Amino acid sequence: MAMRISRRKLALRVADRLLAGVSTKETLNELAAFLVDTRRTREQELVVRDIEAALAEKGMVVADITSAFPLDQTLRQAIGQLVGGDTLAVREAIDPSVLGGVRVDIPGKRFDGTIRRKLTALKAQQV
Amino acid sequence: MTEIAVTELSKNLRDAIAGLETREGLESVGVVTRVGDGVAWIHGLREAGFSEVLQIETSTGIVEAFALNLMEDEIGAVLLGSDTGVAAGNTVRLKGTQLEVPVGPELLGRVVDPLGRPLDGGPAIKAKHTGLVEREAVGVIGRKHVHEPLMTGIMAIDAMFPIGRGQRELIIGDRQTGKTAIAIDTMINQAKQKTGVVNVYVAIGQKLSKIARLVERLKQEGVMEQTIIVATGPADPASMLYLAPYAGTAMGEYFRDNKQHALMIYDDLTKHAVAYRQMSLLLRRPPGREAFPGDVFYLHSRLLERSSKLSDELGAGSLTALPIIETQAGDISAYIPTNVISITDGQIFMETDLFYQGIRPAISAGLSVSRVGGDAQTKAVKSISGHLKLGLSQFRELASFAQFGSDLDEATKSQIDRGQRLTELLKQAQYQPMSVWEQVASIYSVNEGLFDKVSVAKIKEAQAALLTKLWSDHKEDMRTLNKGDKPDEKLLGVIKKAAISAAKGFED
Repeated sequence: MAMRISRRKLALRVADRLLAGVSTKETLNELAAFLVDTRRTREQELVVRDIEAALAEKGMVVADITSAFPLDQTLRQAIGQLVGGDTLAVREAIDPSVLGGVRVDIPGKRFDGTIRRKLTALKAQQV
Repeated sequence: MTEIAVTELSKNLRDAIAGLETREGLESVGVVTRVGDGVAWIHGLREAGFSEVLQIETSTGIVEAFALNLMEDEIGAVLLGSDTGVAAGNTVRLKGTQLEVPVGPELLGRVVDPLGRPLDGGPAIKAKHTGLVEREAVGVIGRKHVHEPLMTGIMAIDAMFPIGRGQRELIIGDRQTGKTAIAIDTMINQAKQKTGVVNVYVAIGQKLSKIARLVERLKQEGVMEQTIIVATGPADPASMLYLAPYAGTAMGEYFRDNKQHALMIYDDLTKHAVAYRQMSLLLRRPPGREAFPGDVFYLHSRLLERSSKLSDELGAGSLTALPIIETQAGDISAYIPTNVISITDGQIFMETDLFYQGIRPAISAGLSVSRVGGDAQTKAVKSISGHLKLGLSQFRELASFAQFGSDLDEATKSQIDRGQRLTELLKQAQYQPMSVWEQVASIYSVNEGLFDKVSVAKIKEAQAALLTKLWSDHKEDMRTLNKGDKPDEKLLGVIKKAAISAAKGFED
């Protein structure tokens, strides 16, 4: 049996190809074929996370911003500064369950300034 | 060369710090991908260290876990609590510490779990110090040879297999042969003889009713004030059973490092190995012999290596260990027993046959040994128990001939007679540890043949009479003897006289 290729190696390879300018569609088609061939389609979500992490290491950061209310421009800029990186792509989501404040997820890291997080911490008596 | 802007240094540094601080709120997170059987698999958190504590944010609160499998794509972590609230998708954070437990005198008299949380319904433990659960053992230079006695109060052990402070002596035997009883008697003796040795009893997967009974007994005997009990039951997660001995050792090490003496009892390491096997298999580590993982030897060797006698520079404290191992049908060549036998400095082997013959404690004279305790033996006991072990072993070999009675030559007959009396003498009731003078007087009387005319059945009565007489008539002499120095001729004369007169009442 061929040696199993780790998700991390797979992600690094995909990230390298994307940054080298190979078309996204072609790269993802190859990845999809590989996952189907090795029966690892169940790992697709994790592979995407790993690719995002690999891209972030190389300066291309994807940030998920979750807040209870829509963001304004100054906040977006502040978040851009916080996250750093050469290029920044942002996905925004409104989630009333965070109650207030903002949560920024970048690959492997999180800034959690939401009220919900503070309440959880209080509950665990960590504040 | 560029000009250094000395005047701007302070401002530049402040800016640099401010620049770093803007990223301060960013913390590393991972996500639970799978969970089950007390093990969680986590994606992300690439900077997690081995044995580092992770916090899993569940809908019902925070559950802690510690990272044991660090792999390229995921982390295998063992949960320190129930896995019912933990679900795939939960956020995981690093706590930033390795596992620590509270240590110090505040724990004395308490029953705690392996994380130092009280289980006895008492107030919260406000310890001033914490100790690392996993800690490296003291090095060569920090140690000294074992030279002070740790009296167990059990005559058979103190006379034949003496234990020194800093020694690791294994107690091994089948179920129901009195292994725990020896450990408990040793703890009781520390209080009775006022040795100042702190006891740490680690119950690994023991029935909670048994632990409750033990605590009750220790309270009755007045030992609880100098005892810490680390308790885990059969219903606790395997991670807790795995951590218990390390956590207990951290608590004992506090006393060792503060110029005191502590005694560790691990009851028992067989269950510990089984708990570790469960964890390892669930973490998908390859199984080896008897399905134990490859590092099961290291599991126990790194634990027991922490018991030591410290050098004078480090305060001369000590940590003695009495690990307990349960065998199946007396098989000491199984995997875990041979491992622990080779790690420890000797073993006390308990035999089922002896136990049911009424010879209790059921210590086998032939298979038991103490490899380093000789130097540590109390001089008084050493001076009178020289040939005890050899005589007893030879007697057990000859005992099968005893049924031939009159057909034996005189020498063999006398050896059998002496052996029977010695065996009878070394029987000792539970919870009744004996002090040095009691041991010396008893062994001396039988060894010198002063009880040769007393029938075997009446040896214990004669011994009791002797001890009562000595204590009532020669209290000061016995106090001197109790200090442990080699008794002089005068003192031995006193015992001899008393023994002869005590024996008179019980002769046939």
